[in-house]
Amino acid sequence: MPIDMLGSANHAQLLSFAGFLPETKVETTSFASPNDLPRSLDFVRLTGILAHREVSVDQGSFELAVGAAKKALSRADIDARDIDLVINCSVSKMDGKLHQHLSPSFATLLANELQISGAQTFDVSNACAGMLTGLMIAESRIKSGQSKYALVVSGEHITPIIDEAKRRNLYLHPRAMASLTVGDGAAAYILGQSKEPGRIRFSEPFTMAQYNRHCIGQACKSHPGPQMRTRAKDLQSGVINNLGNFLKRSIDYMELKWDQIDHTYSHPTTPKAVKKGAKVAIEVMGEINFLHNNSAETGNTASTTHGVQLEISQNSGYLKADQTALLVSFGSGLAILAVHFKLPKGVENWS
Amino acid sequence: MLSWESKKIGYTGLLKSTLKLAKKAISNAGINPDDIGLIVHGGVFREHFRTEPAFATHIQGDLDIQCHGIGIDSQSCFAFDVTDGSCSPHVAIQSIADLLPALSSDYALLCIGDDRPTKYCDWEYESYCVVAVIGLSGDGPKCESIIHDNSNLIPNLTTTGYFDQSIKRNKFVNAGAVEFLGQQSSKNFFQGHQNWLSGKHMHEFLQLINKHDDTLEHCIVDRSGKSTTAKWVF
Repeated sequence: MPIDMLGSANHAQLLSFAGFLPETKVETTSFASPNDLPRSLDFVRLTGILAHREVSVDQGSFELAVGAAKKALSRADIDARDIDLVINCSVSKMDGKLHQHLSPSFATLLANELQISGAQTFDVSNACAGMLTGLMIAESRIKSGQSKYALVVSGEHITPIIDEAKRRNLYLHPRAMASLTVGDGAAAYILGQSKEPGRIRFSEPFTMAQYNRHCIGQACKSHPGPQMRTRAKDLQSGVINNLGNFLKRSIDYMELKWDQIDHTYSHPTTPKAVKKGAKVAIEVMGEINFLHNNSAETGNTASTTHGVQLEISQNSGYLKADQTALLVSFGSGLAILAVHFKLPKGVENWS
Repeated sequence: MLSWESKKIGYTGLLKSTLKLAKKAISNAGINPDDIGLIVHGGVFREHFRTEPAFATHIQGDLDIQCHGIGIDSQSCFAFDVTDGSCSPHVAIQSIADLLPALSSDYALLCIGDDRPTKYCDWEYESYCVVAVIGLSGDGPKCESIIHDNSNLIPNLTTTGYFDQSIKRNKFVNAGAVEFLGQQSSKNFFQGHQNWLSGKHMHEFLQLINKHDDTLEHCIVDRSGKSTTAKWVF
Protein backbone atom coordinates (compact mmCIF):
# COMPACT_ATOMS: atom_id res chain seq x y z
CA MET A 1 0.00 0.00 0.00
CA PRO A 2 2.02 0.95 2.17
CA ILE A 3 -0.30 -0.04 4.95
CA ASP A 4 -1.02 2.62 7.52
CA MET A 5 -4.09 1.26 9.22
CA LEU A 6 -2.36 0.08 12.37
CA GLY A 7 -3.07 2.03 15.53
CA SER A 8 -1.53 1.78 18.95
CA ALA A 9 -0.11 -1.50 20.23
CA ASN A 10 -2.33 -3.54 22.58
CA HIS A 11 -2.38 -7.16 23.64
CA ALA A 12 -5.11 -9.68 23.01
CA GLN A 13 -6.58 -12.53 25.00
CA LEU A 14 -9.14 -15.26 24.65
CA LEU A 15 -12.13 -14.38 26.83
CA SER A 16 -14.24 -17.43 26.08
CA PHE A 17 -14.85 -20.30 23.70
CA ALA A 18 -17.79 -22.58 23.07
CA GLY A 19 -18.47 -25.75 21.17
CA PHE A 20 -22.04 -26.55 20.20
CA LEU A 21 -23.27 -29.89 18.93
CA PRO A 22 -26.69 -30.85 17.56
CA GLU A 23 -28.47 -33.49 19.63
CA THR A 24 -28.92 -36.29 17.11
CA LYS A 25 -26.16 -38.87 17.45
CA VAL A 26 -25.47 -41.24 14.54
CA GLU A 27 -23.39 -44.37 15.11
CA THR A 28 -20.74 -44.97 12.44
CA THR A 29 -21.75 -48.61 12.14
CA SER A 30 -25.25 -47.53 11.10
CA PHE A 31 -23.95 -46.30 7.72
CA ALA A 32 -20.39 -47.60 7.39
CA SER A 33 -20.40 -51.18 8.60
CA PRO A 34 -17.99 -53.62 6.94
CA ASN A 35 -20.93 -54.85 4.79
CA ASP A 36 -21.36 -51.32 3.35
CA LEU A 37 -17.74 -50.79 2.37
CA PRO A 38 -15.30 -52.15 -0.22
CA ARG A 39 -13.20 -55.12 0.90
CA SER A 40 -15.35 -55.33 4.06
CA LEU A 41 -13.35 -52.45 5.48
CA ASP A 42 -13.68 -52.00 9.24
CA PHE A 43 -14.18 -48.22 9.16
CA VAL A 44 -14.45 -47.83 12.93
CA ARG A 45 -11.16 -49.65 13.49
CA LEU A 46 -9.52 -47.73 10.63
CA THR A 47 -10.53 -44.27 11.83
CA GLY A 48 -11.45 -44.56 15.50
CA ILE A 49 -14.71 -42.67 14.84
CA LEU A 50 -17.60 -44.31 16.68
CA ALA A 51 -20.29 -41.70 16.00
CA HIS A 52 -21.02 -38.14 14.92
CA ARG A 53 -23.78 -35.56 15.42
CA GLU A 54 -26.27 -34.47 12.78
CA VAL A 55 -28.53 -31.45 12.58
CA SER A 56 -32.28 -31.75 13.05
CA VAL A 57 -34.72 -30.77 10.28
CA ASP A 58 -34.83 -27.08 11.18
CA GLN A 59 -31.08 -26.67 11.74
CA GLY A 60 -28.24 -25.71 9.46
CA SER A 61 -24.85 -24.00 9.67
CA PHE A 62 -26.53 -20.75 10.72
CA GLU A 63 -28.50 -22.15 13.67
CA LEU A 64 -25.47 -24.09 14.90
CA ALA A 65 -23.28 -20.99 14.70
CA VAL A 66 -25.86 -18.94 16.59
CA GLY A 67 -25.94 -21.60 19.32
CA ALA A 68 -22.15 -21.52 19.74
CA ALA A 69 -21.98 -17.72 19.60
CA LYS A 70 -24.63 -17.27 22.31
CA LYS A 71 -22.83 -19.69 24.59
CA ALA A 72 -19.47 -17.95 24.03
CA LEU A 73 -21.00 -14.50 24.62
CA SER A 74 -22.58 -15.63 27.85
CA ARG A 75 -19.33 -17.19 29.08
CA ALA A 76 -17.34 -14.03 28.27
CA ASP A 77 -19.96 -12.09 30.20
CA ILE A 78 -20.12 -9.29 27.69
CA ASP A 79 -23.02 -7.68 25.94
CA ALA A 80 -23.47 -8.56 22.27
CA ARG A 81 -23.53 -4.83 21.54
CA ASP A 82 -19.88 -4.56 22.67
CA ILE A 83 -18.70 -6.81 19.86
CA ASP A 84 -17.16 -4.72 17.09
CA LEU A 85 -15.84 -7.48 14.81
CA VAL A 86 -17.55 -10.68 13.67
CA ILE A 87 -15.68 -13.16 11.51
CA ASN A 88 -17.40 -16.28 10.27
CA CYS A 89 -15.25 -19.18 9.10
CA SER A 90 -17.74 -21.87 8.04
CA VAL A 91 -16.82 -24.01 5.07
CA SER A 92 -20.36 -25.27 4.51
CA LYS A 93 -22.79 -22.33 5.07
CA MET A 94 -25.50 -24.86 4.30
CA ASP A 95 -29.07 -24.68 5.57
CA GLY A 96 -31.41 -27.58 6.39
CA LYS A 97 -32.73 -27.55 2.80
CA LEU A 98 -29.20 -27.94 1.44
CA HIS A 99 -29.04 -24.39 0.12
CA GLN A 100 -25.58 -22.85 0.20
CA HIS A 101 -25.42 -19.28 1.48
CA LEU A 102 -23.27 -17.03 -0.72
CA SER A 103 -23.93 -13.36 0.01
CA PRO A 104 -23.78 -11.10 1.99
CA SER A 105 -21.29 -12.60 4.41
CA PHE A 106 -22.66 -15.17 6.84
CA ALA A 107 -21.06 -13.07 9.58
CA THR A 108 -23.32 -10.16 8.63
CA LEU A 109 -26.44 -12.27 9.08
CA LEU A 110 -25.13 -13.82 12.29
CA ALA A 111 -24.42 -10.37 13.73
CA ASN A 112 -27.91 -9.27 12.76
CA GLU A 113 -29.45 -12.32 14.45
CA LEU A 114 -27.35 -11.80 17.60
CA GLN A 115 -28.26 -8.09 17.68
CA ILE A 116 -24.65 -7.09 17.29
CA SER A 117 -24.89 -3.70 15.67
CA GLY A 118 -22.10 -1.55 14.32
CA ALA A 119 -19.59 -4.36 14.05
CA GLN A 120 -17.48 -5.07 11.02
CA THR A 121 -18.57 -8.42 9.61
CA PHE A 122 -17.04 -10.71 7.00
CA ASP A 123 -16.27 -14.34 6.20
CA VAL A 124 -12.93 -16.09 5.95
CA SER A 125 -12.64 -19.21 3.86
CA ASN A 126 -9.68 -21.47 4.46
CA ALA A 127 -11.22 -24.93 4.77
CA CYS A 128 -10.65 -26.58 8.16
CA ALA A 129 -7.96 -23.98 8.94
CA GLY A 130 -10.50 -21.17 8.56
CA MET A 131 -11.15 -20.77 12.29
CA LEU A 132 -7.50 -20.26 13.19
CA THR A 133 -7.11 -17.94 10.20
CA GLY A 134 -10.08 -15.92 11.48
CA LEU A 135 -8.65 -15.89 15.00
CA MET A 136 -5.32 -14.66 13.65
CA ILE A 137 -7.03 -11.74 11.87
CA ALA A 138 -9.10 -10.91 14.97
CA GLU A 139 -6.04 -10.96 17.22
CA SER A 140 -4.24 -8.64 14.84
CA ARG A 141 -7.17 -6.18 14.87
CA ILE A 142 -7.23 -6.17 18.66
CA LYS A 143 -3.48 -5.71 18.91
CA SER A 144 -3.60 -2.79 16.51
CA GLY A 145 -6.37 -1.14 18.51
CA GLN A 146 -8.97 -1.43 15.74
CA SER A 147 -11.16 -3.80 17.72
CA LYS A 148 -12.04 -4.24 21.39
CA TYR A 149 -14.11 -7.42 21.29
CA ALA A 150 -14.19 -9.88 18.41
CA LEU A 151 -16.45 -12.87 17.81
CA VAL A 152 -14.96 -15.58 15.60
CA VAL A 153 -17.59 -18.18 14.83
CA SER A 154 -18.40 -21.11 12.59
CA GLY A 155 -21.26 -23.55 12.13
CA GLU A 156 -20.72 -26.61 9.98
CA HIS A 157 -23.58 -28.59 8.47
CA ILE A 158 -21.46 -30.96 6.43
CA THR A 159 -23.01 -34.37 7.00
CA PRO A 160 -24.83 -34.23 3.61
CA ILE A 161 -21.46 -35.29 2.14
CA ILE A 162 -21.91 -38.60 3.97
CA ASP A 163 -25.15 -39.18 2.06
CA GLU A 164 -23.44 -38.20 -1.20
CA ALA A 165 -20.62 -40.67 -0.54
CA LYS A 166 -23.09 -43.42 0.37
CA ARG A 167 -24.83 -42.94 -2.99
CA ARG A 168 -21.55 -43.73 -4.75
CA ASN A 169 -20.00 -47.08 -5.35
CA LEU A 170 -17.01 -46.61 -3.10
CA TYR A 171 -15.00 -49.19 -5.09
CA LEU A 172 -15.18 -46.76 -8.00
CA HIS A 173 -15.04 -43.58 -5.91
CA PRO A 174 -12.49 -44.27 -3.16
CA ARG A 175 -11.87 -40.53 -2.82
CA ALA A 176 -15.37 -40.16 -1.38
CA MET A 177 -14.43 -42.40 1.56
CA ALA A 178 -13.10 -39.52 3.71
CA SER A 179 -16.58 -37.98 3.54
CA LEU A 180 -17.72 -40.67 5.98
CA THR A 181 -15.55 -39.17 8.74
CA VAL A 182 -17.40 -35.88 9.21
CA GLY A 183 -19.94 -34.57 11.70
CA ASP A 184 -21.99 -31.41 12.21
CA GLY A 185 -20.98 -28.91 14.89
CA ALA A 186 -20.23 -25.32 15.73
CA ALA A 187 -17.69 -23.27 17.65
CA ALA A 188 -17.19 -19.69 18.71
CA TYR A 189 -14.45 -17.70 20.38
CA ILE A 190 -14.52 -14.23 21.94
CA LEU A 191 -11.28 -12.28 21.90
CA GLY A 192 -10.69 -9.09 23.82
CA GLN A 193 -7.92 -6.71 24.87
CA SER A 194 -5.41 -7.61 27.54
CA LYS A 195 -2.77 -5.80 29.54
CA GLU A 196 -0.70 -8.97 29.67
CA PRO A 197 1.43 -9.70 26.61
CA GLY A 198 1.60 -13.21 25.17
CA ARG A 199 -1.78 -14.53 26.34
CA ILE A 200 -2.36 -15.52 22.73
CA ARG A 201 0.32 -16.21 20.13
CA PHE A 202 0.25 -17.52 16.59
CA SER A 203 2.75 -19.57 14.66
CA GLU A 204 3.96 -18.63 11.21
CA PRO A 205 1.15 -19.70 8.89
CA PHE A 206 2.02 -21.98 5.97
CA THR A 207 0.16 -23.00 2.85
CA MET A 208 1.79 -25.89 1.01
CA ALA A 209 -0.10 -25.33 -2.20
CA GLN A 210 1.44 -28.37 -3.89
CA TYR A 211 -1.37 -30.24 -2.08
CA ASN A 212 -4.15 -27.85 -3.19
CA ARG A 213 -6.02 -30.44 -5.25
CA HIS A 214 -5.95 -33.22 -2.63
CA CYS A 215 -9.29 -32.31 -1.03
CA ILE A 216 -12.01 -30.58 -3.04
CA GLY A 217 -15.41 -29.63 -1.66
CA GLN A 218 -18.08 -28.33 -4.02
CA ALA A 219 -21.73 -28.73 -5.02
CA CYS A 220 -22.68 -32.25 -6.08
CA LYS A 221 -23.48 -32.14 -9.80
CA SER A 222 -26.32 -34.65 -9.75
CA HIS A 223 -28.09 -34.23 -6.40
CA PRO A 224 -28.85 -31.45 -3.90
CA GLY A 225 -26.05 -30.74 -1.42
CA PRO A 226 -22.27 -30.85 -1.41
CA GLN A 227 -19.66 -33.48 -2.20
CA MET A 228 -16.05 -33.90 -1.16
CA ARG A 229 -13.26 -35.82 -2.86
CA THR A 230 -10.09 -36.43 -0.91
CA ARG A 231 -6.77 -38.10 -1.59
CA ALA A 232 -6.66 -38.84 2.11
CA LYS A 233 -3.47 -40.89 2.25
CA ASP A 234 -1.43 -38.37 0.23
CA LEU A 235 -2.82 -35.47 2.22
CA GLN A 236 -1.99 -37.18 5.49
CA SER A 237 1.55 -37.81 4.25
CA GLY A 238 1.82 -34.10 3.47
CA VAL A 239 1.00 -33.31 7.07
CA ILE A 240 3.06 -36.05 8.71
CA ASN A 241 6.16 -35.32 6.59
CA ASN A 242 6.12 -31.64 7.55
CA LEU A 243 4.77 -31.75 11.08
CA GLY A 244 8.14 -32.12 12.80
CA ASN A 245 9.69 -29.03 11.23
CA PHE A 246 6.45 -27.11 11.61
CA LEU A 247 6.36 -27.79 15.35
CA LYS A 248 10.04 -27.00 15.86
CA ARG A 249 9.69 -23.71 14.01
CA SER A 250 6.40 -22.81 15.66
CA ILE A 251 7.54 -23.41 19.22
CA ASP A 252 10.64 -21.32 18.52
CA TYR A 253 8.66 -18.59 16.77
CA MET A 254 6.08 -18.35 19.55
CA GLU A 255 8.88 -18.44 22.17
CA LEU A 256 7.34 -21.39 24.00
CA LYS A 257 8.66 -24.38 25.85
CA TRP A 258 7.11 -27.61 24.63
CA ASP A 259 7.09 -29.24 28.04
CA GLN A 260 5.20 -26.28 29.51
CA ILE A 261 2.21 -26.59 27.21
CA ASP A 262 -0.60 -28.00 29.35
CA HIS A 263 -3.10 -29.05 26.67
CA THR A 264 -2.53 -29.94 23.02
CA TYR A 265 -5.19 -30.27 20.33
CA SER A 266 -4.60 -31.31 16.75
CA HIS A 267 -7.08 -31.04 13.90
CA PRO A 268 -8.84 -34.39 14.27
CA THR A 269 -9.34 -35.71 10.75
CA THR A 270 -9.72 -38.98 12.66
CA PRO A 271 -8.59 -40.10 16.15
CA LYS A 272 -6.22 -42.58 14.45
CA ALA A 273 -4.63 -39.79 12.39
CA VAL A 274 -4.12 -37.72 15.53
CA LYS A 275 -2.27 -40.65 17.11
CA LYS A 276 0.01 -40.84 14.07
CA GLY A 277 0.71 -37.12 14.29
CA ALA A 278 1.35 -37.39 18.02
CA LYS A 279 3.98 -40.04 17.38
CA VAL A 280 5.86 -37.61 15.13
CA ALA A 281 5.45 -34.78 17.64
CA ILE A 282 6.81 -36.91 20.49
CA GLU A 283 9.80 -38.05 18.40
CA VAL A 284 10.71 -34.48 17.47
CA MET A 285 9.61 -32.44 20.50
CA GLY A 286 9.32 -34.87 23.41
CA GLU A 287 6.38 -36.08 25.48
CA ILE A 288 3.05 -34.25 25.18
CA ASN A 289 1.62 -33.25 28.56
CA PHE A 290 -2.03 -33.82 27.64
CA LEU A 291 -3.11 -34.65 24.10
CA HIS A 292 -6.87 -34.21 23.80
CA ASN A 293 -7.87 -36.71 21.14
CA ASN A 294 -11.60 -36.73 21.75
CA SER A 295 -13.33 -36.71 18.37
CA ALA A 296 -14.44 -40.37 18.54
CA GLU A 297 -18.04 -39.32 19.24
CA THR A 298 -18.13 -36.20 17.01
CA GLY A 299 -16.14 -36.96 13.87
CA ASN A 300 -14.36 -34.24 11.94
CA THR A 301 -16.43 -31.08 12.24
CA ALA A 302 -14.24 -29.11 9.80
CA SER A 303 -13.41 -25.55 10.90
CA THR A 304 -15.10 -26.06 14.27
CA THR A 305 -13.09 -29.07 15.46
CA HIS A 306 -10.88 -27.35 18.01
CA GLY A 307 -13.80 -25.51 19.60
CA VAL A 308 -15.80 -28.72 19.83
CA GLN A 309 -12.85 -30.55 21.39
CA LEU A 310 -12.17 -27.73 23.85
CA GLU A 311 -15.84 -27.89 24.87
CA ILE A 312 -15.61 -31.64 25.53
CA SER A 313 -12.45 -31.10 27.62
CA GLN A 314 -14.10 -28.26 29.54
CA ASN A 315 -17.19 -30.36 30.21
CA SER A 316 -14.93 -33.13 31.51
CA GLY A 317 -13.29 -30.72 33.96
CA TYR A 318 -9.81 -30.91 32.42
CA LEU A 319 -9.31 -27.17 31.84
CA LYS A 320 -8.26 -24.59 34.41
CA ALA A 321 -7.81 -20.82 34.11
CA ASP A 322 -4.38 -19.67 32.97
CA GLN A 323 -3.32 -23.14 31.91
CA THR A 324 -2.02 -23.12 28.35
CA ALA A 325 -3.36 -24.77 25.21
CA LEU A 326 -1.85 -25.32 21.78
CA LEU A 327 -4.18 -25.83 18.81
CA VAL A 328 -2.64 -27.13 15.61
CA SER A 329 -4.73 -26.76 12.50
CA PHE A 330 -4.59 -28.37 9.07
CA GLY A 331 -6.88 -27.38 6.22
CA SER A 332 -7.27 -28.40 2.60
CA GLY A 333 -4.94 -26.37 0.52
CA LEU A 334 -2.78 -27.41 2.49
CA ALA A 335 -2.81 -24.81 5.26
CA ILE A 336 -0.94 -25.39 8.53
CA LEU A 337 -0.91 -23.00 11.45
CA ALA A 338 -1.09 -23.06 15.24
CA VAL A 339 -2.26 -20.90 18.09
CA HIS A 340 -1.17 -20.99 21.73
CA PHE A 341 -3.19 -19.27 24.44
CA LYS A 342 -3.79 -19.06 28.14
CA LEU A 343 -7.20 -20.42 29.05
CA PRO A 344 -9.73 -17.76 30.05
CA LYS A 345 -10.47 -16.79 33.63
CA GLY A 346 -13.33 -18.80 35.06
CA VAL A 347 -13.16 -21.58 32.46
CA GLU A 348 -13.52 -24.25 35.13
CA ASN A 349 -16.84 -22.77 36.26
CA TRP A 350 -18.57 -22.41 32.89
CA SER A 351 -21.81 -24.26 32.48
CA MET B 1 -0.31 -0.74 -3.74
CA LEU B 2 2.85 -1.22 -5.78
CA SER B 3 1.36 -2.47 -9.02
CA TRP B 4 -2.00 -3.59 -10.31
CA GLU B 5 -3.64 -5.21 -13.31
CA SER B 6 -7.27 -5.76 -14.21
CA LYS B 7 -9.29 -7.04 -17.13
CA LYS B 8 -12.74 -8.14 -18.11
CA ILE B 9 -13.09 -11.90 -18.31
CA GLY B 10 -15.64 -14.27 -19.78
CA TYR B 11 -18.13 -16.35 -17.84
CA THR B 12 -15.38 -18.56 -16.49
CA GLY B 13 -11.59 -18.68 -16.49
CA LEU B 14 -10.95 -16.60 -13.40
CA LEU B 15 -7.95 -18.67 -12.34
CA LYS B 16 -6.29 -18.48 -15.75
CA SER B 17 -6.79 -14.71 -15.93
CA THR B 18 -5.63 -14.22 -12.34
CA LEU B 19 -2.40 -16.10 -13.04
CA LYS B 20 -1.71 -14.05 -16.17
CA LEU B 21 -2.35 -10.74 -14.42
CA ALA B 22 -0.45 -11.81 -11.30
CA LYS B 23 2.70 -12.56 -13.30
CA LYS B 24 2.47 -9.12 -14.92
CA ALA B 25 1.78 -7.33 -11.62
CA ILE B 26 4.63 -9.12 -9.84
CA SER B 27 7.04 -8.26 -12.63
CA ASN B 28 5.89 -4.61 -12.70
CA ALA B 29 6.43 -4.38 -8.94
CA GLY B 30 10.04 -5.41 -9.53
CA ILE B 31 9.85 -8.44 -7.26
CA ASN B 32 9.98 -12.22 -7.69
CA PRO B 33 7.00 -14.53 -7.10
CA ASP B 34 8.81 -16.06 -4.13
CA ASP B 35 8.87 -12.62 -2.45
CA ILE B 36 5.09 -12.94 -1.98
CA GLY B 37 4.26 -14.15 1.54
CA LEU B 38 0.50 -13.72 1.56
CA ILE B 39 -2.23 -14.24 -1.03
CA VAL B 40 -5.78 -13.15 -0.30
CA HIS B 41 -8.62 -13.63 -2.75
CA GLY B 42 -11.94 -11.81 -2.44
CA GLY B 43 -15.13 -12.73 -4.26
CA VAL B 44 -18.45 -14.53 -3.95
CA PHE B 45 -18.94 -16.99 -6.82
CA ARG B 46 -16.69 -19.97 -7.50
CA GLU B 47 -16.83 -22.63 -10.17
CA HIS B 48 -19.25 -25.44 -9.17
CA PHE B 49 -19.92 -23.57 -5.92
CA ARG B 50 -16.59 -24.79 -4.59
CA THR B 51 -16.16 -24.40 -0.84
CA GLU B 52 -12.68 -25.79 -0.30
CA PRO B 53 -9.77 -25.33 -0.60
CA ALA B 54 -9.48 -21.55 -0.77
CA PHE B 55 -9.22 -20.17 -4.33
CA ALA B 56 -6.05 -18.37 -3.22
CA THR B 57 -4.32 -21.74 -2.73
CA HIS B 58 -4.86 -22.47 -6.43
CA ILE B 59 -3.30 -19.12 -7.31
CA GLN B 60 -0.34 -19.90 -5.06
CA GLY B 61 0.02 -23.42 -6.44
CA ASP B 62 -0.17 -22.42 -10.10
CA LEU B 63 2.28 -19.55 -9.58
CA ASP B 64 4.53 -22.09 -7.83
CA ILE B 65 5.07 -19.83 -4.82
CA GLN B 66 6.77 -21.68 -1.95
CA CYS B 67 5.34 -25.03 -3.07
CA HIS B 68 7.74 -27.09 -1.02
CA GLY B 69 7.88 -28.81 2.33
CA ILE B 70 8.49 -26.91 5.55
CA GLY B 71 12.21 -26.69 6.23
CA ILE B 72 13.86 -25.35 9.34
CA ASP B 73 14.50 -22.01 7.64
CA SER B 74 12.44 -22.20 4.44
CA GLN B 75 10.36 -19.24 3.31
CA SER B 76 6.60 -19.53 3.57
CA CYS B 77 3.49 -18.22 1.88
CA PHE B 78 -0.03 -18.24 3.30
CA ALA B 79 -3.18 -18.17 1.19
CA PHE B 80 -6.87 -17.81 2.01
CA ASP B 81 -10.13 -16.25 0.78
CA VAL B 82 -12.44 -13.64 2.24
CA THR B 83 -15.97 -12.83 1.23
CA ASP B 84 -18.52 -10.15 2.02
CA GLY B 85 -20.62 -9.70 -1.09
CA SER B 86 -19.38 -6.89 -3.32
CA CYS B 87 -17.48 -5.41 -0.39
CA SER B 88 -15.01 -8.33 -0.58
CA PRO B 89 -12.17 -6.23 -2.10
CA HIS B 90 -12.06 -3.95 0.93
CA VAL B 91 -12.16 -6.91 3.32
CA ALA B 92 -9.28 -8.50 1.40
CA ILE B 93 -7.21 -5.29 1.52
CA GLN B 94 -7.84 -4.91 5.24
CA SER B 95 -6.97 -8.56 5.91
CA ILE B 96 -3.66 -8.03 4.15
CA ALA B 97 -3.11 -4.89 6.23
CA ASP B 98 -3.84 -6.94 9.36
CA LEU B 99 -1.55 -9.86 8.66
CA LEU B 100 1.32 -8.76 6.42
CA PRO B 101 3.23 -6.77 9.08
CA ALA B 102 3.54 -9.92 11.22
CA LEU B 103 4.79 -12.14 8.40
CA SER B 104 8.37 -12.60 7.26
CA SER B 105 7.61 -11.26 3.77
CA ASP B 106 7.03 -7.64 2.77
CA TYR B 107 4.67 -8.38 -0.12
CA ALA B 108 1.16 -9.70 -0.60
CA LEU B 109 -0.95 -10.48 -3.61
CA LEU B 110 -4.49 -9.15 -3.64
CA CYS B 111 -6.77 -11.05 -6.05
CA ILE B 112 -10.40 -10.16 -6.74
CA GLY B 113 -12.96 -11.77 -9.02
CA ASP B 114 -15.84 -14.18 -9.56
CA ASP B 115 -16.55 -17.14 -11.80
CA ARG B 116 -20.00 -18.02 -13.11
CA PRO B 117 -20.59 -21.12 -10.96
CA THR B 118 -22.26 -23.26 -13.64
CA LYS B 119 -23.48 -22.59 -17.17
CA TYR B 120 -27.04 -23.06 -15.90
CA CYS B 121 -26.80 -19.93 -13.75
CA ASP B 122 -28.40 -16.77 -15.11
CA TRP B 123 -25.50 -14.33 -15.27
CA GLU B 124 -26.31 -10.66 -15.58
CA TYR B 125 -22.89 -9.53 -14.38
CA GLU B 126 -19.73 -8.30 -16.04
CA SER B 127 -16.88 -10.30 -14.51
CA TYR B 128 -13.55 -8.60 -13.94
CA CYS B 129 -10.35 -10.04 -12.59
CA VAL B 130 -8.13 -7.74 -10.53
CA VAL B 131 -4.68 -8.44 -9.13
CA ALA B 132 -2.46 -6.08 -7.14
CA VAL B 133 0.87 -6.37 -5.39
CA ILE B 134 0.74 -4.80 -1.96
CA GLY B 135 3.88 -3.89 -0.06
CA LEU B 136 4.71 -2.67 3.40
CA SER B 137 6.57 0.27 1.89
CA GLY B 138 6.80 2.05 -1.45
CA ASP B 139 5.46 5.02 -3.33
CA GLY B 140 2.13 3.64 -4.58
CA PRO B 141 -1.38 4.61 -3.57
CA LYS B 142 -1.87 4.09 0.14
CA CYS B 143 -5.07 2.79 1.74
CA GLU B 144 -5.42 4.98 4.80
CA SER B 145 -8.63 3.63 6.30
CA ILE B 146 -11.60 1.41 5.60
CA ILE B 147 -14.98 2.15 7.17
CA HIS B 148 -17.76 -0.43 7.38
CA ASP B 149 -21.45 0.43 7.55
CA ASN B 150 -24.13 -2.23 8.10
CA SER B 151 -26.83 0.26 9.11
CA ASN B 152 -28.64 -0.02 5.76
CA LEU B 153 -28.48 -3.80 5.68
CA ILE B 154 -31.62 -5.59 4.54
CA PRO B 155 -30.90 -9.12 5.79
CA ASN B 156 -33.27 -10.96 3.48
CA LEU B 157 -31.49 -9.71 0.34
CA THR B 158 -29.39 -12.82 0.12
CA THR B 159 -27.78 -14.84 -2.65
CA THR B 160 -28.02 -18.61 -2.29
CA GLY B 161 -26.83 -21.60 -4.28
CA TYR B 162 -29.28 -24.46 -4.76
CA PHE B 163 -29.96 -27.57 -6.81
CA ASP B 164 -32.73 -26.95 -9.33
CA GLN B 165 -34.69 -30.23 -9.32
CA SER B 166 -36.45 -29.38 -12.59
CA ILE B 167 -33.22 -29.38 -14.61
CA LYS B 168 -31.10 -31.38 -12.14
CA ARG B 169 -28.39 -28.71 -12.07
CA ASN B 170 -26.93 -26.21 -9.61
CA LYS B 171 -27.91 -22.55 -9.84
CA PHE B 172 -28.13 -19.56 -7.56
CA VAL B 173 -30.92 -17.17 -6.69
CA ASN B 174 -30.92 -13.55 -5.54
CA ALA B 175 -33.72 -13.17 -2.99
CA GLY B 176 -35.77 -9.98 -2.79
CA ALA B 177 -36.07 -7.04 -5.13
CA VAL B 178 -33.59 -4.17 -5.00
CA GLU B 179 -33.81 -0.70 -6.45
CA PHE B 180 -30.12 -0.40 -7.18
CA LEU B 181 -28.14 2.72 -6.38
CA GLY B 182 -26.41 3.97 -9.50
CA GLN B 183 -22.82 5.01 -9.99
CA GLN B 184 -21.84 8.22 -8.18
CA SER B 185 -18.73 10.24 -8.67
CA SER B 186 -17.34 13.57 -7.51
CA LYS B 187 -13.85 15.05 -7.19
CA ASN B 188 -12.71 12.88 -4.30
CA PHE B 189 -15.41 10.24 -4.16
CA PHE B 190 -16.36 7.25 -6.25
CA GLN B 191 -19.16 4.76 -5.70
CA GLY B 192 -19.89 2.03 -8.24
CA HIS B 193 -23.28 0.66 -9.23
CA GLN B 194 -24.87 -1.45 -6.50
CA ASN B 195 -25.31 -4.44 -8.81
CA TRP B 196 -21.64 -4.73 -9.75
CA LEU B 197 -19.53 -7.65 -8.60
CA SER B 198 -16.33 -7.14 -6.60
CA GLY B 199 -14.05 -7.28 -9.64
CA LYS B 200 -15.88 -4.52 -11.50
CA HIS B 201 -15.89 -2.30 -8.40
CA MET B 202 -12.11 -2.57 -8.11
CA HIS B 203 -11.51 -2.35 -11.86
CA GLU B 204 -13.45 0.90 -12.17
CA PHE B 205 -11.74 2.31 -9.10
CA LEU B 206 -8.33 1.50 -10.56
CA GLN B 207 -9.21 3.42 -13.74
CA LEU B 208 -9.51 6.57 -11.60
CA ILE B 209 -6.21 6.26 -9.75
CA ASN B 210 -4.08 8.06 -12.31
CA LYS B 211 -6.50 10.98 -12.40
CA HIS B 212 -5.96 11.78 -8.73
CA ASP B 213 -3.00 13.22 -6.89
CA ASP B 214 -4.49 13.77 -3.44
CA THR B 215 -7.21 11.51 -1.96
CA LEU B 216 -10.05 9.39 -3.24
CA GLU B 217 -12.79 7.72 -1.21
CA HIS B 218 -13.99 4.51 -2.79
CA CYS B 219 -17.39 3.35 -1.59
CA ILE B 220 -18.86 -0.07 -2.37
CA VAL B 221 -22.52 -0.67 -1.59
CA ASP B 222 -23.42 -4.35 -1.62
CA ARG B 223 -26.74 -5.65 -2.93
CA SER B 224 -27.76 -6.25 0.71
CA GLY B 225 -27.33 -2.53 1.51
CA LYS B 226 -24.20 -2.84 3.63
CA SER B 227 -21.25 -0.77 2.49
CA THR B 228 -17.55 -0.18 2.90
CA THR B 229 -15.56 2.96 2.13
CA ALA B 230 -11.81 2.95 1.61
CA LYS B 231 -9.88 6.17 1.77
CA TRP B 232 -6.89 6.21 -0.57
CA VAL B 233 -4.07 8.71 -0.46
CA PHE B 234 -1.90 9.29 -3.52
